[in-house]
Amino acid sequence: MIPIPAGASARSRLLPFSVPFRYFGAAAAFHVLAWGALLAGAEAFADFGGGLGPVFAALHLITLGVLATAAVGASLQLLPIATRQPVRSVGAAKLIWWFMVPGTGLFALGAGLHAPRMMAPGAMLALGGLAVYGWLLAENLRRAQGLRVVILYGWAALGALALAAASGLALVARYEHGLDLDHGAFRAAHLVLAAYGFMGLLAMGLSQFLLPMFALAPAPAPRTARFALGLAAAGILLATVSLLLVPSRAGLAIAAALGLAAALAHVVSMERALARRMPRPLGPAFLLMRVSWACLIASLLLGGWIALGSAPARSELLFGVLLVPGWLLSFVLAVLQRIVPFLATVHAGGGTRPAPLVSALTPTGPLAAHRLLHLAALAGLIAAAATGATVLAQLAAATGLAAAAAFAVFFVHTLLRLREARLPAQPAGLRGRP
Amino acid sequence: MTFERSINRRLHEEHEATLSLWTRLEGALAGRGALDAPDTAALLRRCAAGLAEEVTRHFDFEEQVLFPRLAEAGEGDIAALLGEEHAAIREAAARFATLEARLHAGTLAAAEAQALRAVSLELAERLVSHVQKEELSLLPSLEDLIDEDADAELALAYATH
Repeated sequence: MIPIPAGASARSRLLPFSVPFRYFGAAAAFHVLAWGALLAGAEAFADFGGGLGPVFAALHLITLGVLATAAVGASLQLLPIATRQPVRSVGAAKLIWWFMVPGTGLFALGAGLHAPRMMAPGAMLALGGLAVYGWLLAENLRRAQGLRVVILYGWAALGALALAAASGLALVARYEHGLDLDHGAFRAAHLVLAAYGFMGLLAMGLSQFLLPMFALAPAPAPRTARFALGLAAAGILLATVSLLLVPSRAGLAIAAALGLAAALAHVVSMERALARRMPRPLGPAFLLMRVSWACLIASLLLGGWIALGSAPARSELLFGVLLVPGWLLSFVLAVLQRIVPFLATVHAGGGTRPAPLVSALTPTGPLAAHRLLHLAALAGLIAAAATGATVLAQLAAATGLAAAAAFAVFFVHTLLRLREARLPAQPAGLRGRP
Repeated sequence: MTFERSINRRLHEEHEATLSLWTRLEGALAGRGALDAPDTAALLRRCAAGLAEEVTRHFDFEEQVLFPRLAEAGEGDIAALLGEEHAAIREAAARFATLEARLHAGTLAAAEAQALRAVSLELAERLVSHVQKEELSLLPSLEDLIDEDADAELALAYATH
């Protein structure tokens, strides 16, 4: 760990540097491990149907390790800005990391080694962390003022998180204790609740003020945001009911249509806001953002087709690729590459030199390499899922691993630059000496 | 974000004007055109004029009147951060003003043109980042910290500052 002095008062909405960055660092590390696990199990990728093994481990290293961990770190710092309420307990915000990170590692290791007995404590730890996070989120939303629409998305995401956690727990109980449940239905419901529900709704909510800030654009219309939330929540609820309570293909197809309408409303609203931005380039992160939106829409189209029962073979695997690495991972990485340097400049003060510029904390080389490699890996995974070709899965996983390494270089580079900025200025004659 | 307090609306309008002006300059300089091209020189002049207002009236008011309120409300770290950014912007603004004045007077040496371009881009980035932080922290905090009477007083104080 690179030591960087930091501090913030207990009442402040600005968390100490170490709080959000410990989550971002863990997400960057899990990102590398996830692609590594996929590479290790690439020969099983084409036939992956949700069973234990390296592909399952890779999936959860992405969902719990990268997506949820980054979402916790980002929302702990960003939601208080939108809600105008400080985090209730900084200690609890730190504690979550100590549950989630070891828990996710243990869970993924157990899954990769086909060892349910190792998975269970890992899942319990991760769920414990998410429970503390849920409490902090609820406390913040309960006292929230400010951006009403972001608050509504926050509550919806919290509800989805509770259901995703419950369904995940049931699935772990099936593996360890042989709990009798419809594995396919619970697995699908868990995916919908975690990916479209918790992560998707949180991403859509935070986008309402984050993306306009990045792009120097006006806020999207709140009415459209509320409309999209209503459609999305109805779709997620209907999908869950149609999977777990009243099995219905028609219900699932309608749920996908509702989700598609929500996604289109969200994307159109965002694009309209971006079109009215100040005359400044959006920056390369928005390429990833737009790819993620395209994958979101494609996943819902394919999901509807699968629900109707007429989709070709391998559609379910392709659906998973579009949803997890396509929509959510691309989106989270795009956001991280903007907020990591921005938040770093927030904590760069206090030295004797002027705070560094955001551009000085944003290494363009590693990010350009990451972008290219991530998109190539995504295209490769889509092709591998569609064709079932193991060699494509291996190539995609290797490319994704390289992309993750480039992203980790970006993260470490930003930390090192921040550390430099926080050091007292040396007399000119001393610079460059060891 | 939308703001209900008059003082916030006023500061927000000034932030918008700053962003509009400096992102236009950023775009003009990205084209690598000559600094003394009429359009670019006029834009630099407008930026210099706007900046003089920004770093005196706007910054002074925030530092003397608003940041103490922020600190009293437990957000002293944010006030300190914004204050440090003001200092960095003032320092760059002084360099910019000197070089821009020379450009305007026709005495800017060829070697100084690169320095003017660099400090202009630095200022654009510092101002954009600073405005983003104030819009996310200072203004929303003020929405909660001040009541209608205090808002009216602050708006009047700013108008006469």
